[in-house]
Amino acid sequence: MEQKREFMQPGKTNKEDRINFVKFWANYVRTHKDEDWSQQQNILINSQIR
Amino acid sequence: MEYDSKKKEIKLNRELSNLDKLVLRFCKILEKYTDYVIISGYVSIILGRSRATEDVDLFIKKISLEQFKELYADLKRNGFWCLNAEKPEEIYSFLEDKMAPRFSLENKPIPNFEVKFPKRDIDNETFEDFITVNLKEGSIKISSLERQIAFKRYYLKSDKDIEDALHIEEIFGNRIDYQKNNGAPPLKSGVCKAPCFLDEGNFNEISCPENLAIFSDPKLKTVKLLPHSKECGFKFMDIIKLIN
Repeated sequence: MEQKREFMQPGKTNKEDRINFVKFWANYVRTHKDEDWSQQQNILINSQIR
Repeated sequence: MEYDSKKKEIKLNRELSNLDKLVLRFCKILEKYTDYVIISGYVSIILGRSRATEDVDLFIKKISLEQFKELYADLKRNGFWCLNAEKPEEIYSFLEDKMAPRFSLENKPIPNFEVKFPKRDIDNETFEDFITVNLKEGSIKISSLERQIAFKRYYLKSDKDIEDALHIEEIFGNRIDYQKNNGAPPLKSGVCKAPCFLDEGNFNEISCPENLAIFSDPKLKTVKLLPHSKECGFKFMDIIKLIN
């Protein structure tokens, strides 16, 4: 069965949008395997630190 | 991610980033000579926060100049150097003068490790209030979740710091001990607690974010920090009063 997709609430301001993304991503980290979310995070970190 | 609050351990099966590997490498050398705890932004990042950092902040327990010379020699043998000076005596003088010398891989200023001796009692308490993060390739020591949230949300308070604190709060939810008070006596009704950093400045008002839970009343919107008492001694808690 297909997993129900979770949507991120867009913010009315930049600050609100950033806060909403923090919550959205934290939920992803909480509900997925460490190997899964860390692979995505590492694209960001490894692009800055080789 | 598995958090055992009694053992103060987090088990993390994450894929290590280049930054994680460097942190493990640096800390493995450090712990041969002194105790350390990682503080600041990297704590959120190792726990999944979607940002990078150019530096990793650590407290180290105070060591003698002779011990520091051995530590620095070991760092040098392993490819690290100090960004601020070459001679260990000079680097050590920065530590003694409450400054934070930075160490990086030779010829590569970022990322770097900002190393400090504890300045205040509250800094020293970090060594009793930490979590061990167990990774596939080693372990590192980070400040407790509560301490991290308090410092970022109520002292640093930049947008980035508030987001870092929020990330930890969202990940760990009700496993965070919002009643943490280092053995303080019970409070009267209407009087709440806050982390105490008063030696860095005076707080007249602290705005409570929507999901604030460090105070006993989550509906508080504005609080007033009472004048600091001499007995408090810059502990982790202080007394604030609800303003109607």
